[in-house]
Amino acid sequence: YHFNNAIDSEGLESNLSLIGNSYSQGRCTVEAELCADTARLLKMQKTHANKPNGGESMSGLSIHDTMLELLRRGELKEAEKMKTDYKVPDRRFWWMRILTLAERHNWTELEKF
Amino acid sequence: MFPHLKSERVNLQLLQESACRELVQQLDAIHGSKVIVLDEAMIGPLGLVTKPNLFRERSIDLLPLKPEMRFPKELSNIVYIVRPQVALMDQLVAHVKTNSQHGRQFHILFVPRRSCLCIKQLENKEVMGAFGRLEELPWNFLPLDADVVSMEMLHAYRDVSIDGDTTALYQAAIGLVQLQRLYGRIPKIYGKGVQAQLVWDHAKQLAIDEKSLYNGDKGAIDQLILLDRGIDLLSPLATQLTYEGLIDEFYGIRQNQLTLPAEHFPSYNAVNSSSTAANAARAAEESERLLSDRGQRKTLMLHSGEELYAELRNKNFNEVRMLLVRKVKEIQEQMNLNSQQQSVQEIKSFVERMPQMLEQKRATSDHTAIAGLIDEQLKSYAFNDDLAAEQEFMVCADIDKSSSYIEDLIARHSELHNVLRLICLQCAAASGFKERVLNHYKRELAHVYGLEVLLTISNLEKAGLLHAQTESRAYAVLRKTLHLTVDDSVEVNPKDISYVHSFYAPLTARLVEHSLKPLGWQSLKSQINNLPGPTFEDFQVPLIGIGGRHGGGGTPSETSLLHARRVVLVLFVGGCTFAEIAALRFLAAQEDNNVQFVIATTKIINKRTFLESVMGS
Repeated sequence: YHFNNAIDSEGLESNLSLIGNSYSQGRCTVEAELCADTARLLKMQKTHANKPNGGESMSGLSIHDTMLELLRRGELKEAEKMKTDYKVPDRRFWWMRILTLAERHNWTELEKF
Repeated sequence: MFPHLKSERVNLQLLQESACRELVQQLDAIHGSKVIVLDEAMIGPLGLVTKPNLFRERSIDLLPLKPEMRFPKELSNIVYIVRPQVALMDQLVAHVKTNSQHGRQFHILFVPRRSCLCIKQLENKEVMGAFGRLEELPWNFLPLDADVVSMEMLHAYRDVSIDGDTTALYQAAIGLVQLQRLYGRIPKIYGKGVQAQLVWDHAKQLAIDEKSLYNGDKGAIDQLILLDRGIDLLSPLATQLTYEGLIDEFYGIRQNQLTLPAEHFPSYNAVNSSSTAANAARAAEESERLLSDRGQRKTLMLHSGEELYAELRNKNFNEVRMLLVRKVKEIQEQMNLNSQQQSVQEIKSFVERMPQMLEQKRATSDHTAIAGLIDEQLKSYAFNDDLAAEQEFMVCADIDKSSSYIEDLIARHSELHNVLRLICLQCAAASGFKERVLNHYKRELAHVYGLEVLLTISNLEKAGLLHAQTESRAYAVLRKTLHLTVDDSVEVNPKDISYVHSFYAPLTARLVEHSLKPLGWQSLKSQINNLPGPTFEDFQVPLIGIGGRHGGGGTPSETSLLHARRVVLVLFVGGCTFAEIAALRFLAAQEDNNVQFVIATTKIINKRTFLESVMGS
């Protein structure tokens, strides 16, 4: 399972399934799963980029950063969907919410916690 | 030349002198005007064995190695002092191509060894003809201090455990043989760990070729202990709380030199010029200025040659504060005496003491400045929280669950380096994670820091810093049997080595401590079975009978050994921290141990440099 690392550094979308496969061959289920997640994430980021209000592109961001970005844009629903999709623990999700709300000085929202 | 290297039993000045001699020989063999070009990694080590005026006497310029270089026309020789790395060769090739002219020759001095790969690379690029001498400078161990030698190979641990490159081990073995050549045969050898074993096997092999080692008298060193970094991965990751350790962690000490922004030392220009030891520092500064274009920076030499630093370096930081306060008071008192001098005699003696006092004052002001800087850092919440988390792991509190503190750090997207350090620390303390916990961390890390983090993690796994749980819980067991954590720790005037991490005693240092006791190693053997790698011991007795020659002189010195202070060479394969050095020095200072240490390491590491070298791909 050493050589798949070499491919990984390319970091290209097309390579992801390949890397995922080699990981699962090397019996690294978590890593394989994460690769699949990332592939899905890239797809989702693309659909976002195509939206009219997309703003700056989110591609290349990690799952965490993507969710942060979504929250910053106020797309709570999307972010929550991502949370269940990628099994983000509650704890981290609340951190994100708190940080983004504080960033936008949305104190009234913060009070509700 | 280097007064701070002198000591009674094992005089490391010998090592420095022999290294210097080799360099001079090589240089003198090259005729004509010359310039020396230094590899970045060699600037520091060169400063450890030579003084700038050595080159000035011979009117040789020193230049740092850069990809693009032009040399003045009149130079007929260009000497490179480099590490044997293929990547560097390409730079040299470029130099040769742009700078070659009639009658000019290029020379390379490889430190510590010539590598076939490098020479092949030069051949392939068809520039071999331009090179005159391709020699080696066998500098394996470089003297850092009166009791510390280092190979200055930062990536030794990484090379061996991740890349499978055992050059560093071989170098260490050659270094050991060199040391024995200078200081005589080492009769007793103990060791633990795979890499340590490899080093010793190499060294033995090399020594067989060199029969004189066996036939000579027992040397100045009585015992060798080889310790593998792999047996104790917790200590290098933990925050050091000694003065020197903290300086290293925050600002980095490179080959005894500490570079800080000059603004923190308001008065140094004025005071500097009046002191004697500052001359050394100034010489170093000059060479620094020659070699790099740092702006307003102050370089301090840190070694035991300076009285105050020798006193402070190994203390817990909390004690350092007090000591500095006391020093300042002392100086004040001495200065105040001035105003109430009565007799001429007294004034005279006072004036005689002036330079010494000024020196003291300068040293104190420097160190108060440094201590002040560190103090600021220590006050930060992040530092204290990290430290608290660390210490919880060390006492094995909630060690099998994923730590909520680490989770918070990840969620806040804090520095990856620190997060990984804490995770590895937890792993080391728990002797491996449960599968579920490990996967949880991996998932979290990849979510937050992106998929690339998996590469880093796989490096850590290969280096043995992250792994799934094993049967034995080595750390938890040893914590009890060897008292790695002490409940009632004293940071001021400590009685136990655990003060270096406030209450945790580095395993390596503890092992050494136990091995000093009578039959210590025998009783240790069973206890450290849980640690990875073999435990071994060996004896190098004078060989009798080969060619009818006698070793001679072996037995009488062995009997007197009981009375004299034993000298123990501790070799850390894969680097050691300042905290560990401090712990060993502390042991040596205890009267009843009756021992003196010489510490050899591949490189002095700290939590940052160690992890970075392992993380990088």
